[in-house]
Amino acid sequence: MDVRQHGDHDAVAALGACETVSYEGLFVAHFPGMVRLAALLGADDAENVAQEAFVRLHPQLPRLTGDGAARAYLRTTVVNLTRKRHRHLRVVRDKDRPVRESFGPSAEEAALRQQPDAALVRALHALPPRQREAVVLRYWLDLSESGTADAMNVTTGSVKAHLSRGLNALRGHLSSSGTEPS
Amino acid sequence: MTPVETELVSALHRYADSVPVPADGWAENRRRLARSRTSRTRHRGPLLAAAAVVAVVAGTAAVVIGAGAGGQETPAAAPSVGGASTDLIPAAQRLPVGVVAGPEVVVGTGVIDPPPYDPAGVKLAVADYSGQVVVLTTWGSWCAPCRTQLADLDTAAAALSSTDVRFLAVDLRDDYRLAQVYLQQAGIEFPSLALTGETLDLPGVVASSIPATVLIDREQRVAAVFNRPVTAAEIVDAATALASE
Repeated sequence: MDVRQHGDHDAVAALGACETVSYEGLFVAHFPGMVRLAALLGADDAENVAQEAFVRLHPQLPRLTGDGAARAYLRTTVVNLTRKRHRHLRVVRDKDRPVRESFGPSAEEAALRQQPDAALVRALHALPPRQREAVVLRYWLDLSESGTADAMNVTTGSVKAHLSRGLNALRGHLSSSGTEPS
Repeated sequence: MTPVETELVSALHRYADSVPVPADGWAENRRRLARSRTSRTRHRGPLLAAAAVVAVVAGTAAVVIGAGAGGQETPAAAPSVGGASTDLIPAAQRLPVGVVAGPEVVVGTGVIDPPPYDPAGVKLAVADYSGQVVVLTTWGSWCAPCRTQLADLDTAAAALSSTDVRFLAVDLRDDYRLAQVYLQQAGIEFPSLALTGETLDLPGVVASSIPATVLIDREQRVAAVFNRPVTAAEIVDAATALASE
């Protein structure tokens, strides 16, 4: 199992074991991870979602003790903001309003185009939102099932259900599924 | 963990690692935090903010302070206000407005919008308002405080409809289709000029921190600059004072 903590190891180590982590320290340590989380969850404006999550974190900091609580707050906020963004995009699409025509492909789309796993990533983005959230939080962030449930604000039981459905949908796009004896 | 899960984990990591992360994230975050704090202060004390009416009395000095800020939102130096509620620049110190012209943004029909403006069509220009008092405001459909400002100025325009004070909006760096939609939805009555390409040539206006509102006297000189949101009442007072000069 890959135990990388989305690239924030060094920064966290640099902060030492101090109890109160500074806002800037949190930002340096977790901004890249939050941008990536938003992108994996399918936000078309991942940087913006991550920035907004940190802006919302700022006034909450005095109430959150320790790096873990702040991180959990950021995760939940990114999940919620991405959901909101999806809802917004759906509304806009339904109204058929020209909203981002004048922009080029999003950074996320550009990244996708150079992907060796493009098919899998597309399948991931095609999942129902809850299944995608469960898969990303559990398998990419390596959260426990209860941690995933907290971040999604649902029960552990539904995390299990979302995970198994999500995994089933993605199975066809993973090569090991073909070579595996059934 | 099954082979499928293991493969999924590494595929997710490969994808995540390919997502670009901007290097200047921290600087951008400082800007956003500053903005969120400013807007909160504004909500708390609009009256105080309004009372501190403008270092614009300092005339050209205010121009330098404002223009030099370069994105930094330093308020201009302490106002040396004479106690009046509306502070117009003394006539002798006023600077002439530059060329501000562009096609008018056509208000949408709500069904199938026409093109937002005709680049070859008739241009609106500040120069056409010579002899009248003009309230000019800068906005963009992408700028939330500007949209609010436009609605407030529409109220002021209605209050001043019996006078010869004219209102003109200058729409900057916009997706003009969105501007069109907003003008239609909000029912803004006064015209909006699409500043396409040209730079904004208004002495004292900090174009990087809109909304900014300018009062122009009958001789096409800048009589007041507000590099901040203004209330309808404030503009009605100031424009009335200028019109009665």
